[in-house]
Amino acid sequence: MLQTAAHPATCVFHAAFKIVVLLIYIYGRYIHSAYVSTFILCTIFAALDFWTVKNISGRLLVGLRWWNLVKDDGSSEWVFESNPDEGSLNATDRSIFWGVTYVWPVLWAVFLFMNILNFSLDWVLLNIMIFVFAGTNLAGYWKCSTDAKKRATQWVQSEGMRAVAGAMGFA
Amino acid sequence: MAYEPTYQSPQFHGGDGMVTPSGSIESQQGRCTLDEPVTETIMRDLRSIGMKLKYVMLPRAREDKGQGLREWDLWGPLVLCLALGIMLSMHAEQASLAFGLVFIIVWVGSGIVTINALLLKGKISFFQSVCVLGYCIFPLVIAAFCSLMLNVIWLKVIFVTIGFTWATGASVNFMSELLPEDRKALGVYPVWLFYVAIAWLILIS
Repeated sequence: MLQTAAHPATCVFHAAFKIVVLLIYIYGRYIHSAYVSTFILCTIFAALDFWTVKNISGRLLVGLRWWNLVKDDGSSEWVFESNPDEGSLNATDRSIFWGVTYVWPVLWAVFLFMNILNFSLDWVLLNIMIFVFAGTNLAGYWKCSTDAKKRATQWVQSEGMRAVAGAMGFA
Repeated sequence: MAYEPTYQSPQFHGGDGMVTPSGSIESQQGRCTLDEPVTETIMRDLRSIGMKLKYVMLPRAREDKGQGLREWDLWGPLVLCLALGIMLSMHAEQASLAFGLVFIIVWVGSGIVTINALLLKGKISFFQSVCVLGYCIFPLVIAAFCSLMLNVIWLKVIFVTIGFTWATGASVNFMSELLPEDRKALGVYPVWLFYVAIAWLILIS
C-alpha cells in the first residue's frame, strides 16, 4: 500500500507515534498497571504526534496547515492555509491522512467513555488529554479543508459570473 | 503548476475584483511555511520555547509587560507541568494522586484564572494568558528541583518563597496591564492564589 504514496516516510510517522501511544496505554492500563510512567510516556508521545500531524504530515500529505496569529492589538485570529492545486495531492497520502485523523479521536472518546463508566478517574484525566490533542488536530484540519472547499466554490461562482457577464457584454 | 509560495490576500485586489482560490492570508510575519524542511520547523519551535523560558527568567519581563510571550504556544507549560509532576510524585506515597493533582491544578487553575480575567472584561486572548501563566511556573519548577536535591526544610521554604515571588512578579505585570483600572485587584488576586497553590504543593511534598 505504501508503494503508491508520495511521502511514505511521512505516512509512517503520521501513524507511528499514535501506535506507540496506544501500545503504551494498553500496556500501562490493562497489563501492568503503572499510572505515572504511563501518563508521562503517553503524554510525551501524544504531544510529539500532535506536533507531527500539525506541522509535518498535514503540510506534506494534504497540503493543509492551520495556526493562530496574534495581531499587534493583542487579538488573535486562526489562520487556515491550503494548497490550491488539489490535483497534485496523492490519493494514498490523502486517504491515510484523513483515515487516521478521523479514527484517532473516536478511539480515545471510546476509552474515555469506558473509563468514566469504570469510575477510574485518574485514567479519565489521561484520556481527556489525549482526546483534546486528537480533537484539536481534527478540528483544525477539518476547518482547513472546509475553508478550502468554500474558497474553491466562491472562485468557481465568481468565474462563472464573469463568464456570463463577459458573454452578455459581447453579445 | 508549481505552488506559488507567496502570500496574496484573498480579498479583492488590483480593482479587477478577482477572488483567487488560494488559501493564503496576508501574514504579518510574511513567512511562507508550507514548503520548509522538517528540521527548520523543529528548530523554530524549539528556539521559540527556549526564548520564552529565558524571557520569563529575566527581570525585563517586569518592564515591558510580557510582550515577549505574545506569540503563545502551550508546549512550554506542558513540559513544565510534566517536570513538576514528576518531581513532586517521586517521593510521594500516593504518586498517582500527586501527579494528577499537579496536572489538574496547573491546567484547570490557569484556565479558571484566565476565564476570571475575561469575565472582568479584560482584553486578553485565552491561550495567550494560559501560556503566560504556564511559562511563569518556571521559577517554581526550579525551586522544586532545588528543594528535591537538598532535603532541608528551611532551605525548601526559602527556595519556594523566592520562586513564588519571581513567578508572581513576572505574570502579575502581564495580567494587570490588560485589565480595566478599577478591577486590577480582582484580576490579579487569582493569579497570586494560583501560584500560592503550586508553591504549597511543592512545600508539602
